[in-house]
Amino acid sequence: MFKAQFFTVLVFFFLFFSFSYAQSGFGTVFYDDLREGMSSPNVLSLQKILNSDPATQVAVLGPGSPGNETQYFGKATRAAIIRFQNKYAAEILSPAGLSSGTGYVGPLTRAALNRISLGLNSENSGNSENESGNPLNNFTGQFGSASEELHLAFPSSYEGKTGSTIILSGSGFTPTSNTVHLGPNKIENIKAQNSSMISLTIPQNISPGRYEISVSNQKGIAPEKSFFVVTAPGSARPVIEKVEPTVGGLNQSIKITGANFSPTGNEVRSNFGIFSNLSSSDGKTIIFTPQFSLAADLQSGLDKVNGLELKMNFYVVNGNGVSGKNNPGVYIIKNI
Amino acid sequence: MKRKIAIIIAIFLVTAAASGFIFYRTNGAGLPYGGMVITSFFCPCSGNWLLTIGPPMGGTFMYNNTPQFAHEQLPRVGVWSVGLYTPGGICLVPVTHGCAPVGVPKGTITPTVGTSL
Repeated sequence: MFKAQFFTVLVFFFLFFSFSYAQSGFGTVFYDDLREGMSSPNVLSLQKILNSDPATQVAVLGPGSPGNETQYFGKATRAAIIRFQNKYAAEILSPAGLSSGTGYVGPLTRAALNRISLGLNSENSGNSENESGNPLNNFTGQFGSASEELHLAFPSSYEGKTGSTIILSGSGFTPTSNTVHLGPNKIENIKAQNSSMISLTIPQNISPGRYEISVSNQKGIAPEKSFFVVTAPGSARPVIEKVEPTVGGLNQSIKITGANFSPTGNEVRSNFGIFSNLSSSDGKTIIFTPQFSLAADLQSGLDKVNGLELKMNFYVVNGNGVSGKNNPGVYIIKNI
Repeated sequence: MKRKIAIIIAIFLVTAAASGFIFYRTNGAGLPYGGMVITSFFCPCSGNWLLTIGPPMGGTFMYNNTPQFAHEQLPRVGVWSVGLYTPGGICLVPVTHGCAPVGVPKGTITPTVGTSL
């Protein structure tokens, strides 16, 4: 009898949580662009968001209709995206200088989708004050208003040629008179799209290379810095092809094999630290031994927690650009 | 008879739990957070991280070495991170006799997370 009562309670418990999850919104964050012809789970999430609004429904019946969403980005999805972009023109089209939707899900469209997906300011399409140009930037729009402090969060891209346009996310940007410092180069009198977004076109007179980015305006200079690589015409970004070993301890020397590494000044940016001034005599290999700032604690954890694995993800950055966003090098830290 | 009922309920229970889990995994349901990683503390007994995330939507969160979207830079201090978290989580550190929890995390970061580089 007790067992039956116990199971009954558990059933209600699990049903409650299943229902709770089902009611908790889309919760998807779109990190990559989407276009017609693609198939991916993100398209399924995209269609669900589009179908949540009758004005942007993918289809009324059949594939793509509410409850029948698919992973395929076809013509109906593209048409729905165009309606979505036109509906939220102030935050998607205007900053890009467009007058009508394109059907391509780029950074501005993703930002709007993410905002809706995460339930942030879902009905202020006409108010650009809290909008953004990068998925991460859904949150920078939450900073506040005119009195907010100046902060630089991140660029929409970390590499590009002169003439390319990037979006800097942050807070405290003023309507006019922002200055972006790209290394020693000052790009002045930049207008902000809103207090959390600056659209910056890389001037033609900037030499190729890796630069620190900072932002200043009448509020002072942002305490944070980011980076951007101005690539030369015809240059090819670093490529990580192989990591050896793939598994090892904290004091392991790691060899990266790939292409387009610089003779000097390569940087490995990892989730466990940034390792700078790395050389590559042949342009194809980088060998480095990471110095972990929390090495003692990490080793203690590896010793205490049976089977613990810590995944180090890393990218190579140099004057040629940044190694592929979707293909980081991976080294698993574990006791072997 | 009681045994049959128990088995039926158990099957129902597992199905209900699994459907909830699958929905959770598919949609990455959770509460949003976002900001710059200000501090990153490794918890040697639990093998995870206690992170302090700054404004605009910050707090103290656990990061359990789960997969991430680009650029996968948690738990590095200084990166900007945005994603979803679920309430709960614990950071265990060594004490004289065994391990003890520290901090009061707002929640645990789910795999639905992206970072700056």
